Amino acid sequence: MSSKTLKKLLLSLIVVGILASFTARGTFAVLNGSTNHPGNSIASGSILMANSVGGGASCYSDLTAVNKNVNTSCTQLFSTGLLYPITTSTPPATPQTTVAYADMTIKSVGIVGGTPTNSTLPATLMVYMPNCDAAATTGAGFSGGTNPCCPGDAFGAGVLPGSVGDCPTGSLDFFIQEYTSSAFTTPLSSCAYPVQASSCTFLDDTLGKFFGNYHDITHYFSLGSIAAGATRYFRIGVAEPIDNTSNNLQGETATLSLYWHMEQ
Amino acid sequence: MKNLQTYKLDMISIGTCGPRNGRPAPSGEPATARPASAAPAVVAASPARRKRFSAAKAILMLMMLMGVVAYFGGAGTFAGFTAQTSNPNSTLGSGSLLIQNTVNANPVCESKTGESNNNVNANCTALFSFTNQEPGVFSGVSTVTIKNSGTLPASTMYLWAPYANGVLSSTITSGNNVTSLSLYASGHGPAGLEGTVNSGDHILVTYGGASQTFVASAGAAPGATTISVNSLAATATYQAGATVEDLDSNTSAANTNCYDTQLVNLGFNSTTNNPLCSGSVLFVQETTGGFNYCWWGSGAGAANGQCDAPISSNPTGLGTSANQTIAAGTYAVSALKGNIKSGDTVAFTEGANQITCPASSDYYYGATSITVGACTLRSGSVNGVFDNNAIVTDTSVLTRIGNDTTHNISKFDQTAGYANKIELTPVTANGTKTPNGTDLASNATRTFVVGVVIAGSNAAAPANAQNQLQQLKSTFGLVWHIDQ
Repeated sequence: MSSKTLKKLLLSLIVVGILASFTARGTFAVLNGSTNHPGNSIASGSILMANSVGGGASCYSDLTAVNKNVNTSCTQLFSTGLLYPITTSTPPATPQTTVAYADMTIKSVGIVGGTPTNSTLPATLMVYMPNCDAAATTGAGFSGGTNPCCPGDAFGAGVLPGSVGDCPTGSLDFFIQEYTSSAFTTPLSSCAYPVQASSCTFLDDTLGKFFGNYHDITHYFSLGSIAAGATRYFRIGVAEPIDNTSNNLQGETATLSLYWHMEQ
Repeated sequence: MKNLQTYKLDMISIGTCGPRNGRPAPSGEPATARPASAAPAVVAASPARRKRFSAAKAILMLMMLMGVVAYFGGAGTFAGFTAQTSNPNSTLGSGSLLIQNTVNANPVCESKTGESNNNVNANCTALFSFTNQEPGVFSGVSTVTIKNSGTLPASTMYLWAPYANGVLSSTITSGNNVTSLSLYASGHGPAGLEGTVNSGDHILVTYGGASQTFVASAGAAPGATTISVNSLAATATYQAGATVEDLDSNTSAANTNCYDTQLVNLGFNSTTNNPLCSGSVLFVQETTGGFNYCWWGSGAGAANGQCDAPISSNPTGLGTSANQTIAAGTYAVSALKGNIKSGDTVAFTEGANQITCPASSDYYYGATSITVGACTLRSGSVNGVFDNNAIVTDTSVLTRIGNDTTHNISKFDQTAGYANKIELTPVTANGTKTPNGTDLASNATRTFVVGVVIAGSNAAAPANAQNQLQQLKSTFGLVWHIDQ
């Protein structure tokens, strides 16, 4: 066999080898079948909230892009400097100056493009008091010396109860009464806080108990469920203790916040 | 040579005078000894030598002609005796590999009826369409049955996440310059583009046995019905129905097949990087023949074959009077939609009452009875009694799902795409898979439970807020494939 013939033969073998190496790659899937499920989807719902005080403008949880559904700039509940010890536990009719009232409307609704839009998910409505700061009332000329939020605690901003539980006795009175409508004329037959089988009355030490037990998101007071898009009405009441003659709360100011929280 | 020519000349010359005279003269035999009847031939052959050479040429030509005849048509003519057999009508027929894909009780989806004309059907029933979901809560599951309706066994069966893809809506004609690819908006598979295409991505178009890769000249958003590509002549005709796949997708959370859309703009629920795709845990658990194996999901590959899947159940034997206490024992429940692992915390919740009990054994999807150990009534429960309206959950499962960061849909797309497809080898016992060379025999079926759940957060409040996931919708695909 001449060298020329040998070269031709070897070249042909190389060509065959290359073809084999390419074609072998496809032999694992000469026959196959395939199906695809496109368009599987899962969509989330929404929990949004609006609150208004005294029938005022709604304050929406989702009002701004950066707040991630938390709005800390809603309307102040009340501001009064005229409280004095009440004489009966029965809440006086509104309007009132001897006690502090705030009528809250809580809606499961957000604002989308300027249009109120209902939440799509039910939620549990909660409330807690992240701060209640005691201070001597400016210009009062006298301060009783007892912390009206949590007796025994120091005065000043940001002071929280040292533990979760009832504060010592001697604080202001506090209640949360739910109503049937925005008219705030028909209370539910039970009191939301303090838990009572009847409508709320002013009870001693209740602000301290609430603040002591429910002062952060992990220690909240549950107001039960709220349906998607539903509205609930609450009156917040604060008063000086009944027939408090000790003057230990005189000339003092309590600055408190209530956070309303909805959670799935 | 001369003698040979002479010999042949003699032979032919004699032959022309009679058959017997064809034989050559024996060596040493005198010419004069031949019979008288041969004399004329001898005389005729002798006068001119020149004439003998012409005859030789003719004979040579004749022999060449005989050779040609023998070569082309005369083969075998030298064989007086022959034997022969033949095997006619031998045939070679190919078998088939076909998938029948059934979701729950929906009509069967056949791979062979796919519009791309290559045994690929991109338009099977969506597994689910869950709306208004919330984190940490059971969403739902679907059952998928895969049957090899072909005649051949499938040596391999795969599950994978598709590329960003769509279905061609306008035919591309061979030779024409292509500058854009039109996609169906509905009715043929993905609704427009399922996923995101970035400029420069390689876009594979496949129809029948032909395919061609184009390069995207601009990005295309999820749902788009047009993908712009650099001008390129089509090397084949691609009919409407061809599959269109972005081979460069599924490389990050931003370009997965799974994509998020904003249902309502709440201001804080951006779709950047598809957060719901990343926040939703997908699970695929096989249940064929009562044997379970978790192929994908929190718990994948677990020894007991369980994915972490919420159970979503209710008691069925407590009546409706809300007067039953829960303690260690066995309880009838509605068929589990997920799994309970031995030792998990099972919670019965009704109104303000909740009691938790440890599971005494593993319980699988579909189980209707569970046994629990000693129970603990949660603080704050009112009276600790329950009825059939109670909700039964496995809080341990929900916690494990909340902790899982590697089995969400986005990760499925990024780590279980075509290049990393999951081979579904046969399952021979709970948690045991055994490769045996055939993943899906002809006419065999395998069954899978597929579910998705928005993972809840196990972080402490307020860090557990997942508000950025509100009012989003994740859309994604799932591919089942068999090979010979």
